[in-house]
Amino acid sequence: MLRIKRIGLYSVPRYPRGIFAPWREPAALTLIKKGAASAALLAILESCDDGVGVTGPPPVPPDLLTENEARAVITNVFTNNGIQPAPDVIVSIIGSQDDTTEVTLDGYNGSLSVGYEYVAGEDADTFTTALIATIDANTAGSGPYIKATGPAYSSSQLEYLMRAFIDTLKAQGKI
Amino acid sequence: MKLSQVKYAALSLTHNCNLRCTYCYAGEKLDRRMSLDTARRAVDFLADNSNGSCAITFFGGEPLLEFPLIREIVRYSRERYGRRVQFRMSTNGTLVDKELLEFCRDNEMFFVLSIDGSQAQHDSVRRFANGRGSYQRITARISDILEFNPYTIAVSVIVPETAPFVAEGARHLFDIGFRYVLQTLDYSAPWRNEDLRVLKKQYLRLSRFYFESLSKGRKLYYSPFDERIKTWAQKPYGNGDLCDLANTQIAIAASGRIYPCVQFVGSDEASYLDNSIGDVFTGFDESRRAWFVAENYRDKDSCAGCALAGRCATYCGCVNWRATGSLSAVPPIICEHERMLMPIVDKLANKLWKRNVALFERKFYDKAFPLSSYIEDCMIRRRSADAAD
Repeated sequence: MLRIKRIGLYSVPRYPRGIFAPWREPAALTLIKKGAASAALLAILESCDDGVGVTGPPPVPPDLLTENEARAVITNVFTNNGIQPAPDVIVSIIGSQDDTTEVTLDGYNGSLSVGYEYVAGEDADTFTTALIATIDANTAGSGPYIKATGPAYSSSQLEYLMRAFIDTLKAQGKI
Repeated sequence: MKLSQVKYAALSLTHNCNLRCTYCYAGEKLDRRMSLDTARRAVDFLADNSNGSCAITFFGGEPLLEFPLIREIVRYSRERYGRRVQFRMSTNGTLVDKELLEFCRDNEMFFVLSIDGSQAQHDSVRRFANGRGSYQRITARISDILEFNPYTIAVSVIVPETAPFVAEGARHLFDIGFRYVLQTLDYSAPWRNEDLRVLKKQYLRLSRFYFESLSKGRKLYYSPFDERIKTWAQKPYGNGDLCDLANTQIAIAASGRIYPCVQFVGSDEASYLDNSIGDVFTGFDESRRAWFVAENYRDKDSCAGCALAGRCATYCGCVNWRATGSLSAVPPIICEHERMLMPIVDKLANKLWKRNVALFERKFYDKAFPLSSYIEDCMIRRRSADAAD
């Protein structure tokens, strides 16, 4: 049976986003464009634009939340729920084979063992799929209760996700 | 809600078609066509309701059944509006001939060609009314079509029955000379989990082909991969990016009634009339139009908080409507398909990036690529022609 399923976190792509070489029109191109050839040239280029966007408007930098923006949004959700996270706290993640990985979390409340990590940029090298699976398993068990998330396109999306995380912990009586 | 000026309009010139494709959404095949008066009024309406310029796509049914009408529409538009109105066409290719290609060349009219892949794949779903497959009729014309425009886009539809042939079909299209293959699922078909497992294997095979091609500097566009890479490397979808029905894009039926998109026209009678947002004689029904736009822009409840939001195809209200009857209700097949496809695409792009494949970097990160690539192509073609001489 096919179904709709929200994805909380997926393996963050390693290819970069939004990095564009600054475009400066070559002098030769300016000359071409001033000439009669430009009309034919642009008309043929336009032919690539039917639904594929090849010659569409130039791409603009994405509106992905920066790490600082994301931290502010998540901290706000935590604070509104009575949880004060300290920034950049080192926490040990213990795996099922008693293997330990030390990570620096973006936010963590030691007394409640609740924290979060917004996985952005080089964080993806540390927060591998395997480590996140361990974090999720610990969160489902006896803690620490950590939500690793990212990337997010909007603050509302991130708020929704973090509220759901805290509501779940509350419903389970963990905090 | 502030509505925009129209940028794109599809003119359904006829409800008739010489093919009977199994997945066609264009309603019953009827001998009902657009009159020249209605067509002229449609052009005037679009010129009045667009911001300086707009593009008209001839649609159907099969628009080339009405080639004389197309000639008249283009002539009328050129006389009154010059180059402000551009023309395009979506055709099944069976009626393309040299006369048409010359007309297209003279009038800068480009078209997309519906072709579903290899002969077995194509003929199983795209047949003439007598049941005969249409593949051979089309392929006889492909070299002329690609000579006219090497960037002609091949549009393919995947249904569960053709899922096992997707990789072979797409490769076939690239091999016979297409550089642009736009492939989409028929989301209204009865897809099952096992069909998606079959499709996943096909995408994996194609991802290897795509990697090898780009590594060798072969330029190609395959929409299931390219469009998803772009949502990461460039910009995620926002409202109206993937589908702006009833707003910047509309469809006009043969009767002159206006619809939010070609997928709503159907037979243009009975229950379909509920979807009409006006007509070219009296203008838009603005409140009805605003309702469609607002519904299409509305956040999808089922997708709230999903990490793939902005990267998947749930933003197409027309597809949602066809599959679920609601603009904002996402059919499960879209979600399942995106969750299956996205990791394949990202893994492919990760590898292309990690291996420093130059064409990948140019294609997705260099804004000048379309132009520089075109100039490159011209030089290659000129060199080939010189060598042949």
